[in-house]
Amino acid sequence: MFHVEHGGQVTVSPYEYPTEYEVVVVGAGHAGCEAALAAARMGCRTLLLTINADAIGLMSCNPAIGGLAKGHLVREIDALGGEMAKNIDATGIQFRQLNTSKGPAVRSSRAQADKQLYRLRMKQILESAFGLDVKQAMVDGILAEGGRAVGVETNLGVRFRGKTVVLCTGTFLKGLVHIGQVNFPAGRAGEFPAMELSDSLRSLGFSVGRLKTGTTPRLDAKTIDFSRTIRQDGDADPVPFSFGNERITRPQLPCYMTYTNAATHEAIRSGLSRSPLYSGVIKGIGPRYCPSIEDKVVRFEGRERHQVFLEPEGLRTSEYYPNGVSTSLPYDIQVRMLRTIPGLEAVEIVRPGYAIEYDFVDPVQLTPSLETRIVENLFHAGQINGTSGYEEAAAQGIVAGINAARKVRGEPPVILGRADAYIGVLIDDLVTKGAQEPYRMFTSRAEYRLLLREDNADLRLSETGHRVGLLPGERYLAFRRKRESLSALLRRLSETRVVPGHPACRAVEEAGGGPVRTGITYAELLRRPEVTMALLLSCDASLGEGADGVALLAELTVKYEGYIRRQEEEAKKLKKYEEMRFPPDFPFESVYGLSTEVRDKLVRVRPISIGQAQRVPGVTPAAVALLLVALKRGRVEPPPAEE
Amino acid sequence: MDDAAATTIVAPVTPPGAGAVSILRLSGDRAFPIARRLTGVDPAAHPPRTLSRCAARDASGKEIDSGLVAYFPAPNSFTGEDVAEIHLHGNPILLEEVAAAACASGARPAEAGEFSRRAFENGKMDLTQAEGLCDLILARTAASARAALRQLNGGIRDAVAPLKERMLSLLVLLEASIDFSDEEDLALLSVAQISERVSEIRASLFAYLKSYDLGHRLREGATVAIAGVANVGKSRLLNRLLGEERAIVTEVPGTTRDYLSGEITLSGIPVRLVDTAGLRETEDPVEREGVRRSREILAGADLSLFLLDASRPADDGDRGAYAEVAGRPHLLLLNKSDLPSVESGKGFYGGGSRGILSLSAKTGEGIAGLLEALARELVPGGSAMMAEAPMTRLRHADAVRKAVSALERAERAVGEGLSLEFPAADVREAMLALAELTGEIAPEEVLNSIFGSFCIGK
Repeated sequence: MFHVEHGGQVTVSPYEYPTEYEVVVVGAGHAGCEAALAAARMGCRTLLLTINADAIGLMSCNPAIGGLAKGHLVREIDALGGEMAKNIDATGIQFRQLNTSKGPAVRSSRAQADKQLYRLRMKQILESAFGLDVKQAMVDGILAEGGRAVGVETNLGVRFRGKTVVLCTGTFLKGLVHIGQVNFPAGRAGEFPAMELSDSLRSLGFSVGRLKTGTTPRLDAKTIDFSRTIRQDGDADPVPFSFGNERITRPQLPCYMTYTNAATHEAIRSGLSRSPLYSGVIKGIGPRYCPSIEDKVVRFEGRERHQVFLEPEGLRTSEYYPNGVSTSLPYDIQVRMLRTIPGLEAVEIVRPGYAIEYDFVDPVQLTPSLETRIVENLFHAGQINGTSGYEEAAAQGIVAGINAARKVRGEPPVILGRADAYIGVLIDDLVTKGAQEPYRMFTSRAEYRLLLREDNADLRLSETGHRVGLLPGERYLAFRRKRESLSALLRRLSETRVVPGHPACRAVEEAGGGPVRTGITYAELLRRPEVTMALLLSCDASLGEGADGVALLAELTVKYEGYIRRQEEEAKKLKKYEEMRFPPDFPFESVYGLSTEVRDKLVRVRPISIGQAQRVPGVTPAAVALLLVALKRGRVEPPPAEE
Repeated sequence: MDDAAATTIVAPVTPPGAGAVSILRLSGDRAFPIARRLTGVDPAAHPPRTLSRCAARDASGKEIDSGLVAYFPAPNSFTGEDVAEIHLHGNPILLEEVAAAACASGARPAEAGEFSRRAFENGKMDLTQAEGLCDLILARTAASARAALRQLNGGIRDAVAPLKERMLSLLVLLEASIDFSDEEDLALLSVAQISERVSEIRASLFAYLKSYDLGHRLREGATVAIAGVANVGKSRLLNRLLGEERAIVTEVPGTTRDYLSGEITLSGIPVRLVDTAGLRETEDPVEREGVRRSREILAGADLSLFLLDASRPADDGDRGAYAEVAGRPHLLLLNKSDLPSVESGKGFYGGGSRGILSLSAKTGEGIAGLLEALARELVPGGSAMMAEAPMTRLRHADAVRKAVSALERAERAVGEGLSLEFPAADVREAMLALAELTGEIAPEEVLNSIFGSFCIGK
């Protein structure tokens, strides 16, 4: 018996689609593309359904990939064998390394994309993937049988059967666009919403909530006076995201910077009474760290100006994205407000900014494999889990795709730890703490930040990418060579002893370091603050014979050895608790001695390990001690008082 | 098994044995219905936290005792759960009968410390408070009890909370400048300011660490060993200090074969005084065993009192015995000041000695000065320290030491010009160490503060 939820009025007799899939992915945004590619590349017969086949891999908001902490996610996706890094490398029009003046752990990559090229290349990759069908369809319901997902049904009454289903619905679930007092259902401006699917989820027992996000107006470059703005060029020598790419050859474009002012803020204030945010029309919770310009003006009244970056949307369009002025103010206010900004005095809006409310499914209802606990074989990834950001979505997408494929094969899920990857931090935060507002990644969310660097993402994750069968063989071999060449270099650094007067010692002294008085190893020299690998290379070129990027890795490994070791030790302690797994049916309801409050929280999250249980908000150290006792003794009931 | 019953516990909270009144406490989801069944007093009809007269009955309705009952609804109770307390006449048999009746109604006998554990679990107390409660019950002197009470009232938490606060606000700035460096106009700190803030916090923590010297003595007491060769008056000094005849006092050398001890209170600290056997090489196996044990005591003592007989010149025996204490904290005492003085102790004024005192254990002359000197040595910081809640356990000191050394690393990192994520890692580690004292810290806290105080736009 099928259990199908229909909210619509029209009943059509269902058509059973003749092909049976192993993985059905709903939604072809950044999460859906990675999920579908991962499943197909792992050998699963995969179907990717999208509401609009012209909007695959579309950048609905800003035309950029990466940024602080997000660049880390992109490199991790790449190390596992995902597509995002390769796609931005192929379509990027301005690459920048952020935080270069800061330390190695928080350096991040960011790139502007040619938005249209980005989506077209992604579409092409999907279309050419073996075992992957891409179809345009609006999914209305999940087909579930005995608590298991077995496929989806579309608004046309087509039933696509799949052993597993991955939902990557973005902002499309009952999407409602707001511009001033006007609002209308849409998945994103100009596209159909999915009006039925979240009801289907509700009827299956999911708790569904509402979030809000927004975007900026798009501006016509012909009407921007760039001479009144500050030009910002990308890096002269752009660094690719993908470990598989050596250089970026595409021509690069500049961005421009300008500021709001008192007149802008005045225009914004004059529109607040007609703002859907401030008149109470919008009920969904928006992201604090990505506030609309009206939010910034209201919350930080004293600020005289706010930065606005003008970013090109592509090589063959004159649309510009004014980063910093996301808004859902009425159209007239958007025009007035923008025209107060230097450079934008005569600006024409191509598309207005808007806010969008959409349904999401609280991710505490998922296991760390991203499979739902309520319906087996059903996975959720991306904004449906309450996240924001392309990179966060893609990171979940690749994990959901991997784990759906593994589920099909009867293999245990891949779960990345908090000390393994930002992806691990992201998913653990989601399934342990839920999402109260759109979740964005920050480096400060990671306890082991010094271990989770962009530069070592391949060292951390390529082994996993290879093991699951996702990372291509030649990439894995290149990674192995790099790892071997790193350990060879580290050995050389710690074993090569130089005496005072050696060119390296002289170079160090010239660089302002203290005099070298005794024999000393390269590694010891490198530990001095003023010594860099580049300096040693200039004295001993043979140190640079290893694979690409190895010299930098070696420098960091040697220089920050103490810090890295301490974090590794902490991580090891954590791992011990992560490995203390609860059996799947562990009765949190009846663990002896737990307070009702703590018990309710544990029942809500159902952590898979003691480690995860410790991180459930409100679970006290004392409660963890009780869980340990219960787990060790297998004792979840109090000793019987009498027979 | 009824799930709720598992969470309701019962136990007497007064000491075992007969007395005027005994109190039985029930805590848990079903404490009220059970107590109501036992006493007939409806918690809904009586004001909370006040005593009501009642008759305690068993399940069959037979009256066991007459007494009083009070209801403490959650969360305003000791455990944070619903708590009922039944006051009965102080006969253990009655108490047991009522407890049995409570168990028949679905309660379970509480395990040792279970009420406190629940209070901790339910956030009524942090770890140091729970420790304070335990120490308060076991305190041996009024000052120890006061220190324990301050700890129970959250004194340690209150002492470190402002420091944690300062670390958090520093970390917020560090994190903000890392995670939002692409944002505009963040009011960030210069390297010098970071360095200054870290070193201020470290200095405050280090100052608080000093309280452990006093705190652990308040809790554990101090041991003072009385040392010296045979017949210099060690036993007599012990008796004098204890004010009672505890040791056998004879003129035969080596009479004290075993150590004797007693306890006095000095500036609120319980001080155990231990008389060691004469430290001399001997063939007598019994005495030799005494010497061996004396050495152990000297090694473990907080302070030693080394006695010389001032009425005779010091000899090699004295000098040999002195070698045993010379490297440890000690006071040099010239005993027998009632006799003509021959020995000045000058040759002994070395290494760890903190001064020479002249006294007569026989007459009591100089004893007051000795007590003052003892107090000075054992109560560092004196009465000023007594006002705050000192750290009382090694665990506390270890956690704070860990925090201090993490902050030292942060200072070094800033000084060496390392980028901010390194001192940030150190400050985080220091915060975690302090969180070990009392509770936890989630990275979410840090982010919340960032969002609360900065305009972050993308």
